[in-house]
Amino acid sequence: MRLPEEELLAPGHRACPGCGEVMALRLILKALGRRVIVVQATGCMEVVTTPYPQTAWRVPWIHGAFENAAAIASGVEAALRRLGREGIKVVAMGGDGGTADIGLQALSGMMERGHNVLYVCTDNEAYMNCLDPSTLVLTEGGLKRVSEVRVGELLYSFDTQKQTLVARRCSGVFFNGVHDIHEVVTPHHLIRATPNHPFLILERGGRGGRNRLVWKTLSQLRVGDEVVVLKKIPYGHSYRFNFRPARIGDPKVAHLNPVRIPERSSPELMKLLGIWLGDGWVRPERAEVGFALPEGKRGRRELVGLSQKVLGTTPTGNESHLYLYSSSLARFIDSLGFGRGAKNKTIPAWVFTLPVEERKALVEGMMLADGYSLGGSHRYVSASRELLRRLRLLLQTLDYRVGKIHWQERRKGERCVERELLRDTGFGYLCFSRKRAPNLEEYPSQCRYGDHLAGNEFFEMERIIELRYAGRNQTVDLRVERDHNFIAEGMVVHNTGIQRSGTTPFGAWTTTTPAGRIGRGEDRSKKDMPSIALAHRIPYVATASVGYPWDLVWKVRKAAAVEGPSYLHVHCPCPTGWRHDSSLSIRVARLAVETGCWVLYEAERGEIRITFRPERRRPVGEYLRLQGRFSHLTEEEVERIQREVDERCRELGLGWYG
Amino acid sequence: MRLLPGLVIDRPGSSAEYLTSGWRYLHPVRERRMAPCAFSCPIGNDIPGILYLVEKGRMEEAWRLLKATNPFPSVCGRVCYRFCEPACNRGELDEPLAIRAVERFLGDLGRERGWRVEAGKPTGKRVAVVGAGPAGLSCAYHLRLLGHGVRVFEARGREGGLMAWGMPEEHLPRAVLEEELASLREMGVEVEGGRRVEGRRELEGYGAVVLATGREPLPEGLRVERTDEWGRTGVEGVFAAGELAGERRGVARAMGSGRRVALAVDAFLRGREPEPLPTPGVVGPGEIKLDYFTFSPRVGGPSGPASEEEVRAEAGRCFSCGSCNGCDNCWILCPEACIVKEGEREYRTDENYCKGCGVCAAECPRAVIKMVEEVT
Amino acid sequence: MRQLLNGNEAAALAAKLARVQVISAYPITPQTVVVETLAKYVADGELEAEFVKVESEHSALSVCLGASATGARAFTATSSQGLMLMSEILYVVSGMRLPVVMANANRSLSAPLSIWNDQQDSLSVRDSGWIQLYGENNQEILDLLLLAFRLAESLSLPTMVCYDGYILSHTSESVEVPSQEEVDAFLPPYSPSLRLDPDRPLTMGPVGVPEIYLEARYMQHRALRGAKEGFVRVAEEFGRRFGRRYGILEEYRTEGAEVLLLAMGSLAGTAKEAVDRCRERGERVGLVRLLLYRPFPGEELVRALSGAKVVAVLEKDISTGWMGALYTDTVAAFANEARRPLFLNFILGLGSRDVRVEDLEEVIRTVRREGEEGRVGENPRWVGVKKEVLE
Repeated sequence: MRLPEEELLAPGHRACPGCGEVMALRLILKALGRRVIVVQATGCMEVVTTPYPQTAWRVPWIHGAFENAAAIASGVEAALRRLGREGIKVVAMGGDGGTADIGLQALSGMMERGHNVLYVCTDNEAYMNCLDPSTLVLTEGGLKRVSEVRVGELLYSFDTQKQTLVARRCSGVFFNGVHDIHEVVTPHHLIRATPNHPFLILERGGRGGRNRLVWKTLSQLRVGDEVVVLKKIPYGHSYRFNFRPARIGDPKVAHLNPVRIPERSSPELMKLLGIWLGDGWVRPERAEVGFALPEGKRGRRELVGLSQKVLGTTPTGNESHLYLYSSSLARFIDSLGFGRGAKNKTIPAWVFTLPVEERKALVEGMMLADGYSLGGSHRYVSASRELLRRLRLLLQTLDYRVGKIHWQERRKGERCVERELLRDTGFGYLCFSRKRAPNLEEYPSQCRYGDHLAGNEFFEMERIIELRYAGRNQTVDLRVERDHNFIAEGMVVHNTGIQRSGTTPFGAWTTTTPAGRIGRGEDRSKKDMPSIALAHRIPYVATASVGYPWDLVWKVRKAAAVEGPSYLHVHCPCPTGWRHDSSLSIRVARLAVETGCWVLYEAERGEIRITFRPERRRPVGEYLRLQGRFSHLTEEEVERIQREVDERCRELGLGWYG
Repeated sequence: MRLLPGLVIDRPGSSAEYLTSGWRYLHPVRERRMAPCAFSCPIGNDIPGILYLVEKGRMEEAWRLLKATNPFPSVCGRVCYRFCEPACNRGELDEPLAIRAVERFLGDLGRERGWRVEAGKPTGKRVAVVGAGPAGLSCAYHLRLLGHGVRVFEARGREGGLMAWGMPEEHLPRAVLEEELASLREMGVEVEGGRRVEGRRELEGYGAVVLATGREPLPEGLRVERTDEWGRTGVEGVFAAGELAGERRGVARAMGSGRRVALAVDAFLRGREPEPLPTPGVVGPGEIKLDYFTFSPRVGGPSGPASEEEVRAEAGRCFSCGSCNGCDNCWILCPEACIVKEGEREYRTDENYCKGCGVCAAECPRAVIKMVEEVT
Repeated sequence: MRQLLNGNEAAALAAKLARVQVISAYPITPQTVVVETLAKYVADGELEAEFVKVESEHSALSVCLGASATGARAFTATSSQGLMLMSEILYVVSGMRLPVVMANANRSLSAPLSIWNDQQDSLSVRDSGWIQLYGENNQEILDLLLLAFRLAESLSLPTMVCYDGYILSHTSESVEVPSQEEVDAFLPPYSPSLRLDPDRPLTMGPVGVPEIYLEARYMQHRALRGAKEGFVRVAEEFGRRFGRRYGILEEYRTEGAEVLLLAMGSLAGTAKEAVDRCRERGERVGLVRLLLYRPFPGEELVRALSGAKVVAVLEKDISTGWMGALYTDTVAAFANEARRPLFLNFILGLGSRDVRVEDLEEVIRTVRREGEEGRVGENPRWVGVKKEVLE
């Protein structure tokens, strides 16, 4: 069976990335072809596909109201019959509510009257404080973009009781769509978040009153408010590299010229890498690791020494450059994540997990290459903005005082450091210095007045110096256990996903019937729509899932071929409502079926036949765990769900194997 | 634009005027990656590519793809250690592909049908290969494919090296080997049996010399100090391949070494550095979406498939790790309908509409697509 | 040809003559006979139409929506509660400019439950964008429905013809019924250019984004305003073909009248009796009867009513908590007029409370007195309220 190439649903519609419903729509249209008239109930699909004056539909389409798609479709079908226009299939489409709740009456009437209409319910169970996805979050595995954080990871968090740094489990990652984003700027930090995102702020009690830390949303912040930021991370452990040196037989190998590739990080290695980060490059295909270190530069001497000590080899070179030839070494350095090319250098996440000495060693190495010091103040120059940004954060974890990044653009032909530039370029520098510790013993109150967290090992307060609008962007949020906060861009922020769960989120689970539908938390549909359709004794009823496109297409075609009413109930994940990554829509849909939470069957003339049996039914936890909307469930609740799914599958004749 | 009564829209598909490209911060990149079988193969056979063609019944094309790297498929199809099969990701689901059996089938089919490989366009250069074992012969074969003239010197009476005197008859029938070796001659490789080369001076006039004498001690005049991964010995124009260059024993390993050295010689003759062989990241078993495949053990039992029908069915079990095989999955699932099928195994994402949802990458059964950050 | 028909039969017959193609209606007293009669026509093969027996009025109008959008002539009939239930879709149909025609047998609204007559139901949906016509007798029911199809389809605006339940619906009168050929000549088949058709895929009912909603509503409003002239033209052609002339309003013995009554529907019949009696006594009283209620013909009413000293607006509805609908609409028409009679509002006949000629004569007396005094008493005045039962 081949699907026609023609797209009857045009791109450019406004559906969320990864929307399961629109995937189903597209497949249904491909299965049906051009000779259709689509009648759509009010809902997500109607809104995203027909923003006037644009429409994504390339077939005739009509929308009336929320609850009457089946009735309008009845009218269309009656008219076609009366007008003698044959060969056109009428398809009515509605979501969960438009079908089972408010739309039930019209659907029932349509089925009872026996109209030749295919009714499709695209069930996305959707109902419907967020950060910019590039926001860097401190996890135990190092610094990561918030969009890369995985459920189960340990994040650093501010223990609100003890005011210390703790590691907490991330229990959810949510992609919340495009929103307005604002920037909160302090002397050493900048973070982008939505107006409803809470920050930990000092509320001054005034004369005689107590100062305390409270949560305030970004929209409530004022310039001058003091926010809790991360000062230092004193922990760390040596990083164990999982680099696999090449084997014999590997066409790329240099089996001679052995270089000792370190298995763990060490201060010396980090220093060497720091020098490399500033002045080095790597070309694995040439087995070359190079450094631009001219004679007389201090870094050069250091590098030679470090190379001998750490790698067991001496670099070769000339008066301006040093080289290490080893394809293993080249590939090793390339694999560490420091990036390639002056503009693309960065500091990978694992560096942030290192012990203090190793982190410092990296900074020292970098300073030997591209930095210089003036008195007590240090300055590092780089052409990579990302590198400066991460260095800034790294220095903050080492309790340095860091300035902002000064960035400059230079045009081709301008003179720069005794040379003319060959092209337009940009570079920047970062200033930092050791902090002067407050004299807490002599002047405790004064110190605490200035900094509420003075003396705290990990955190301190900083004043907000600017708040500004930063445009619209995709947003991400995390849910963290216990204290419900995490450290993003050095600032302590709260998670905003407020779970709309009752005390018994699956209280009505027990009343759902054999079709294996899962409701939506509190506003659950308790009805088994396919069974209701069956009770109308219509010729064809089926369930389908967008995760099994061929099964869906097959069923659509079968239903369309019926002369009379047919009902198709399609399970469609909704990343926005179900709180999972947009890329996981199909995974989630398939897991629903693989766990038995959604059973694929069809009923011709009332006789039910399962159309897909998973080879081995998986535990329901695998399905539930992927979705943020279920992240509040306890072990017991999950077990109860498992029992109920088991019961339902037994009723339907779906075993554990095949 | 004038309004129609009732706000009817008379422009079907006009939503395409709205480019949703600005929504994304990740975009999909299709990259041909290395399958573990191909990675493990010392010769570097494009196993997924070959199996794809076999499954489709395009046997001659498959044979030619195999011959592009492997001069003696009938030999390897019988005696190779099968480096590929333990690495085959299919082993995670049921049983690894019987790759060697397919290779053997192709090799035998090629002999049966009399398919021939042509030498490349003559370059006018000549290369001397000392030693007619699998390394030397493979090197000669590949040099010939590249258009160079080749003369192989073999001290013993018969050529074949390990293939000739190291294999029992039932393992590698003499007749099979003879046919394979004959095909080399048909390509224009000159073989001088019974000639022992004593020194380099005998080989002046050749643009390059490849020493592939195996474990035999080298005569003084040919001794070399060291070799790198391209077989370069430090003496200009002299290369070493196979066991002589430190390669471990094994027909396929030797042939792989021979091929690599042939590339290095070719580059040398053209005055260039050898091009490093591309190594896109190897696809691990965890990257294959096993739920798109159903349990089905080897066709033909433990010894594998024998008939064409069996071979094709077995090839159909290949996951095609890292290589697109035109399964249409990404195209079927894309919610934006912005994946265009440009060829049998070629898709392109319309950058105007891709929202970066990542479903194509998450659902590619063979890990060909990955999402990378959008550079703004 | 003359036939004895009650109002419902006349409505059903009109639909049959108009060759409607899709009928969808849900039975409700006092409209039930319309549905039954049409069902019989279809069953007997006299009318080739799809009769969709829906499960509610909301679905009934939805079926008509779908049918009309597909290019079929669609018809429904209802009353009171049914009209209320489908009221959501009234706005959708008019917003989508679909020429559905409806016969509405005016009936009071629940609560309290009443199956009897007043005009509260249709007047409650006067804002829905439908053309509203009110008939005085069964002949008008037939004629106005035929007019309605023609009017609706030429303007792409849904139209409802309202007639008093029981009073007209269940009362037989002699009705001149045109032949099918005559009607065919007047009413061509419905063939819209915009319809659901795979050969020309249109999107109907998209999202009205803020950038365009105002314009869409304005266009609809403008089209509805244009229905005034449309009605005049079509009625004029109707008059030529069938000999019965209709206008936006009827002026009954209004020459030199000092007191004018304003009314819609069958109430006007009683009012005409009262006017006759007054004229016999030499009083200068007249009646203006409104046929086209929406779009509201403000200018025409101003012209018809300005000559009088005082106008009594008689109506069988109340905008509860304020005045009657007809009254407020009429007074709005006069808001900026220099010459303005005195306006008094009389609420009568709700729930089929009997309105006798004597009651109207009393109204006229009251009105004349207050007109002369130049002072308006209670406004609105509810006629016939039994004060003794009020708590």
